[in-house]
Amino acid sequence: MKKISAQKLSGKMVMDLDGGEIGILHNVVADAATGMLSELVVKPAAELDTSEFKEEGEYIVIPFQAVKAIKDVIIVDREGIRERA
Amino acid sequence: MEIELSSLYGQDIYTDRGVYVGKIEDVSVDIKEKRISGLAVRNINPYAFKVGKKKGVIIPYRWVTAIGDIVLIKHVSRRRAAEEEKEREEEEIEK
Repeated sequence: MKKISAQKLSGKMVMDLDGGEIGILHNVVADAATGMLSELVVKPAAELDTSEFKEEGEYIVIPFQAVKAIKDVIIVDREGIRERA
Repeated sequence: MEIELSSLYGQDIYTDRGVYVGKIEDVSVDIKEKRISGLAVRNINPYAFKVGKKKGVIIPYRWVTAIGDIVLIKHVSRRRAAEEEKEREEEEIEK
């Protein structure tokens, strides 16, 4: 089973499937009752067009379903984000 | 209720019988299952968990009964705590 320390996740780079930079992971949101991870809170890269993301103050929120891979960086599928929006 | 994982760090854990367990240091997440797998706890109360020389334990998230200003878990016997120690050792090997 693949388990990761949540503390180590913060500060990881978030990228899309094309290798484009989205931002830096700030926090992870989970459902307290079930423990299911629901969202990533990301500090967007300066050059990113944030209009297609859900914004929350200076951060953008990405649904956890859009996450494709997590290792040295976090890969998210932009299509998955748009479908929900 | 939705919680930010970073808000858990430093929170105190008690059992549902009011026994202090320790302080949350980190949260272990299962990427494949997309869920929290456990809470890494330090500053362990030796009367709640026998940890020996180890610095902490990982409490499986399924033991958690409530999260608010503090975290409550099911009351467990020392024997089960020893089993968790074993789990933690296995996790450290994976790392």
